[in-house]
Amino acid sequence: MFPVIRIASLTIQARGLILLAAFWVASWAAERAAKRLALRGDDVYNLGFYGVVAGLLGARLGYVLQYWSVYQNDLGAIFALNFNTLSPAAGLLADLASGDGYGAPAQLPWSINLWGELRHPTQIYHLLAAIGIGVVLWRSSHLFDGARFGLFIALYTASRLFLETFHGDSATFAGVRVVQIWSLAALVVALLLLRRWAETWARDVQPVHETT
Amino acid sequence: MWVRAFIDPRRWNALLIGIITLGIVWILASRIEVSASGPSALPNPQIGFAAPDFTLDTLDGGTITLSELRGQPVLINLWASWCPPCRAEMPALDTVYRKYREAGFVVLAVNTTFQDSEADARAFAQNLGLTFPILLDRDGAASRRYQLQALPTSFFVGRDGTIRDIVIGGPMSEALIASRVEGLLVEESQ
Repeated sequence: MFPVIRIASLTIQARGLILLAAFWVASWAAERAAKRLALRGDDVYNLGFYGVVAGLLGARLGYVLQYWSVYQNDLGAIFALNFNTLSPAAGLLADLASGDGYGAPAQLPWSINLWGELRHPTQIYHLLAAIGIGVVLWRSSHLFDGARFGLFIALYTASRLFLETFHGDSATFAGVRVVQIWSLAALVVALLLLRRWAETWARDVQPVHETT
Repeated sequence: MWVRAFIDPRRWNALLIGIITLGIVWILASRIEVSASGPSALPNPQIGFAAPDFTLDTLDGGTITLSELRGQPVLINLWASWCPPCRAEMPALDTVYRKYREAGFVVLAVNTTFQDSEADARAFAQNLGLTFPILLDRDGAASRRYQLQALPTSFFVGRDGTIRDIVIGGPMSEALIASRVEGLLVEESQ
């Protein structure tokens, strides 16, 4: 594991650096897509930026509320920016809580040795799933507004639901892995939304031809 | 085409019911025993694992063994006197320590003596009037066991000896330290 990257005497938190890189790539892709859809690229870029700011504010607010007894006597500390005082349960950092989640012990040909035991390489599973989802989305045509978005949520939550089983650090409630409950709920919501949008599209825009 | 499954009512019902059923079956199949989700027996410098044990001399001539502090929340802070962020967070550490000491909270400030000097560490601690014990990692064994990569690094250890949180880099603010300590103190001792 490489929680920090060292360049000469400079030490950078790998997590922050990777997040920043991911944000940059996503902004770039969104700007390109915006041009294709005849939206103003700048607007999309700004939207992403506001999203990050709002996520940071929400995450900090969550942390302050959780530890109000500490902050009530030191209100100035609420505004001190620090990665460590953001609530992992809120906003932007929602997925980070289990983001560096390691796998459950397993004896498999592709197991990796981590923390003294052979484990599922869950990070690799998630990476492969993300690439797969990316390919599907890339190749799916723009049928109706929200089609790709709904499909992304559905596929992503399905992959979380499936892969969480191989994690070794799941938060549980009565033995059930909490992430899976939320994933299934979000998956069903995504399917319902897709159904609604698809019906509207079929009725208003595109007559359904049963023969195709 | 995948959209068909969302428009055709029969296929839609099959899809929705199928996915919900599959999901619930998978969730139930991947439940874990509550006992298995407890602290791992393996010591590792990682959240959720047992804090690796060490016995080190203190600046004032005693020795401290981490495992003997079981039942109390512990903050292990690895530092060096030449490291500016380490120096900067020491007053905040001391304030939080004095505030929660009565409740059983312990700070172990492990000086990385193998890359520092005992005299500098002593001068620094006396200068600031630090009240918590300063431990001396003379041969670097404890630092290696905690896979120290950057100074300062802090490990928040729960009453059961499990690492609850790790903060790499600093300086940590008083609010950050205090909030983590409050989280450790509310845990029930085993």
